[in-house]
Amino acid sequence: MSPSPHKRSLPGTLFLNFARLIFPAQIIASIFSPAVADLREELREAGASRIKRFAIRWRWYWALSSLMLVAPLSVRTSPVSGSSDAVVAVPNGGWLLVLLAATLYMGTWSFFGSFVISSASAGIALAFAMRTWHDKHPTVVVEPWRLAALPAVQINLSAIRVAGDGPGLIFAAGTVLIVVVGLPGLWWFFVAAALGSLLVAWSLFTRRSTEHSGLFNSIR
Amino acid sequence: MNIDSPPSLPRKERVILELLVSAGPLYGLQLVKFSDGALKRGTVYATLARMEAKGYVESEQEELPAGAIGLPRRIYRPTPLGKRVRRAWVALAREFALEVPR
Repeated sequence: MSPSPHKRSLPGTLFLNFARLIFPAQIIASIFSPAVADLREELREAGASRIKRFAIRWRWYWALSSLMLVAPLSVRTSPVSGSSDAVVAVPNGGWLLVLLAATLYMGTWSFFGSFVISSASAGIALAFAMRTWHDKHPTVVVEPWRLAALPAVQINLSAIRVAGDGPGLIFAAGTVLIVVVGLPGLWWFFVAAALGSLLVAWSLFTRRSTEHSGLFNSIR
Repeated sequence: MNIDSPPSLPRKERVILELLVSAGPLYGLQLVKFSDGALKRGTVYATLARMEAKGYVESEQEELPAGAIGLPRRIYRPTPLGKRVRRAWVALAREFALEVPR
């Protein structure tokens, strides 16, 4: 029994839905939607010929796959402009970072398999924890307007800015935990690093508190 | 126009501008078909998005007929800046006796 035509999705729908998971709306609107619309038009022009339709579909699926690789390297959304189809012609570092991580995971799989699984799982869990915390207690990062106009550089899957607050602590502690799971022999290094950084943080805090109270007294 | 450096015109962008100037507004698929293999389906849409960001082309979505479902197609046309950049490139190419596309 052939499926009902109403239940079958239009060509390219699955691909477009997949692209929507990866790319922002601007790139979908300016690159992927026009491509899928043209794919459907070419299929419509092909008529009922099954061979023609098959050839067109394969040509397009190959092209759309290439487009998925090309698009993030050639365009990215503009964080400054509010325009819905604003794209600028510079490489997208975030996508390259994901590619790099995937390559590293695959390359180290044979001798680092358990660590790869644990670090990937813990990384995703950590990202969720940070996102949950951030949604309840949004981070306020004070930065010069020039930096604020640039795209936020983020190295965590939760895609939130990290400051010296709750998410920052989760990020630092979680990262250390993941590395210690993979390299248990180095636990002493992280304990020493944590103690050292606490010492530095305490001295900085004390010094700045003294400077601020001195300034406050001089103003009074 | 306030720019720091002269606008660049890579080969694929040049082909697209030539086609849009000579044939009028075109869809991405038409550009691929008219280019005799110079443009591919897998790259032309990214190139067009980049050209739009540079201000060389502009696009609009066609309106779907009433009751139609699916995605509207996007049609592209050259902007005055795009035409100007193309003219400048042709003049430069003539100056250096490069191959100038018709």
